[in-house]
Amino acid sequence: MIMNFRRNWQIYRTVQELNSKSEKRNPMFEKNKLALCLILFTLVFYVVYLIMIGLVLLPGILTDCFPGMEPYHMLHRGMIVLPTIDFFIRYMFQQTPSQQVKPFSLLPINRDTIIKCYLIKDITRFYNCFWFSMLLPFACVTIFKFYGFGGIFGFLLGWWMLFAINSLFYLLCRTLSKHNILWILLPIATFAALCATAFYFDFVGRLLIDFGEGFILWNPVSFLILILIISAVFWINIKVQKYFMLDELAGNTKEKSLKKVNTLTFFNRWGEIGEYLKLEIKSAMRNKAIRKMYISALCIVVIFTILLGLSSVYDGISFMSDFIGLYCCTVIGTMTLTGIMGVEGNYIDGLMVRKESIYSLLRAKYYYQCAIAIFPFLIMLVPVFMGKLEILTLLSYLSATIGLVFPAMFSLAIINKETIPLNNILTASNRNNKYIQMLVSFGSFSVPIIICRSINTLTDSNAGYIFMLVAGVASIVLHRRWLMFIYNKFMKRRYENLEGFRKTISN
Amino acid sequence: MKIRIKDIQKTFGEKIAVDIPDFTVNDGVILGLVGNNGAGKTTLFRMILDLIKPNTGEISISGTVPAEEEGETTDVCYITSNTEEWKKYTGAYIDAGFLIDYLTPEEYFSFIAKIEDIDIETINQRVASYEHFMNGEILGQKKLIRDMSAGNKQKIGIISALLHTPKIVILDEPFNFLDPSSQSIFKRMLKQYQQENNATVLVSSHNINHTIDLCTEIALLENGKIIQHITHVDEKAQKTLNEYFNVY
Repeated sequence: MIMNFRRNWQIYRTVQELNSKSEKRNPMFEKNKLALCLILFTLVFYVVYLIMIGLVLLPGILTDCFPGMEPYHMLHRGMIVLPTIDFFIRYMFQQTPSQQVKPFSLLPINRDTIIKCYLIKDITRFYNCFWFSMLLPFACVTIFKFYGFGGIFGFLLGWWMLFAINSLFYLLCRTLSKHNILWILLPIATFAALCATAFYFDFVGRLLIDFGEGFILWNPVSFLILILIISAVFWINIKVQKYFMLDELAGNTKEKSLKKVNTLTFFNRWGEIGEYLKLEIKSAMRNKAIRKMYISALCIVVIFTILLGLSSVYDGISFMSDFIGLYCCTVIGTMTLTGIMGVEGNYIDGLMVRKESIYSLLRAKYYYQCAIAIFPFLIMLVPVFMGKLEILTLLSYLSATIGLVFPAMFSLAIINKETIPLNNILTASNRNNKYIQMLVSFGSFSVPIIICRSINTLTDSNAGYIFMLVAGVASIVLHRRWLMFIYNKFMKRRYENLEGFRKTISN
Repeated sequence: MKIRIKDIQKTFGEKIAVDIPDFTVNDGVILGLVGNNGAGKTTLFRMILDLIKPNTGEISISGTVPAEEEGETTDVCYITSNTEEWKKYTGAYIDAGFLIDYLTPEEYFSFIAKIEDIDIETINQRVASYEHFMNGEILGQKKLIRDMSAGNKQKIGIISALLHTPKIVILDEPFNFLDPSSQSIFKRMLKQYQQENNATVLVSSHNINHTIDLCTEIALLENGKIIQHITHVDEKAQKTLNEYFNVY
């Protein structure tokens, strides 16, 4: 047994080492490092913010609203809320781990062991302690005086285990939803059911208070329940991950033929641009990884449209309607363009030996993205008809997306040098380090809103929207100029980028 | 069309990948590049095709230097710069990274036709002329390139390099993955292509017999250097290569 443990520990260390090497030897490492610094810098603000909430705001509010109850009782009463928020934040920022099982597949190592290593790595990720920036000060203020350090430690351990469950559940949901988008309903239904049960049934609330107090008191029952849940989600994860991974590895060798080959002759009238437009469409239709991106983005648009247009969740919160309006317009672009040229990285050598094809490719890509951006616009007309969103707001954000966000995303073509695997979702390598893309994505749906709302506040009118509309249209008119600029910059860096693309092609 | 290599050096870290002071590939020859693994064959091809930048020196194709730094095109109009000229008369296939694998072979050939400004009828005729080489396994299969065998992918790559009838053809290890009969057909096909178009052909291979059969000249590469340039391929050349590679 000890030998077995030592062997597994060795495998775990090897997997960790491989991941670390994969990150350090990634062609985007230097740029990712810079982006990561910026992200960490932003994170520090949030940590300070959470410390303030944990130290002052949360204990104060809970004491005022629930006199006679200790704040930590009430925090545990609403125990589901924090993991719910945490889970959906993970959806926005946590990347699904690429599981580089291929190199191990021919070695005499149990595949379950490899998957377990990845899952343990997921549990021990630093992000699972992120909320401690709020919970630790909260515990110092409310728990320390009764239970001392032991109480604080138990409280943090219990919450860490909750976040570990969340992390594993997130991994499970992401894996499932990558294979069938309907699985996105699983976390929605789970958290909705948990929240409804916890708040509707009083006895469940009381159970949660006792359960949470068990952390502080080091009650073995509370921890045993958590260990059982972690073990169950861990076990389900192993089964699911293994199933899809084997399916993916086997899929590459399956004999397939198309039922119908769509020639898209309609696009022939636009010559070379039309040919690249065909490539964009076929790439989205025939490559699993790309197709999933579009479907996921459209699902997000539909969910937000329903929340904004057909429910009263965001009624009267103008910031949220603004945010959703912009987010829905940009989400497809940000999801599919952050890795711009990454798809072409798979066959970039073939393109580069043919005459100036990259400029036509960039133009076609832009026209295609403009056409695609119309879909969220049309879907978002529902909240407009329901009177939840101004048509001017929506038009200005559409214009900002096509005219301002897209140039920013397209400029990533200059620095991107990482090939996107077209069909592999789980076994792809080098897809863990997208910090720079994350930063640009974040900027794409935050900067326009900041500018727009600042102008609106300063002028006390809708001038911000009009500014966005005009600026966007001006940039659209000048698109060939900025695309040529990007093309020139791309060509200047071509050798470096081509080397990166070649290094990251997954075979 | 000539390819002139002058003072080319390429290093990867400490390792010298290619180091060729002066070498010319003359018009209308079939040059075979042979050498052990890591000799620098593929790197040299990639440098000729402007896919890798040499540390020093330059390569010119018919007088044009592909790697020449071009000035920024400030005009919005789409201008083909001089340094792009060589692409019109150069066809190459290095590896599967040249193929758009989510297309069917027909779609890929038609894509090349559009990019190279060739009408679809002409392309269809040219593709049809390689029917024997394709052996009925490529066209009309309703299969994406990625779902085809390695040999068929290789055939698609080779054919796509020849479709715009380039005057310079560069093929890296074209015999790889091909079955013996396809190898034989390919040799005849390439010889015929060279004669019909008076093309300059560069082929690398680890197969000495095929290289001897196909090529009119052979360059032997070792650690990035051309250590021998055989201009008359005969029995003596075969003996030299056999001795070098320890093949008895």
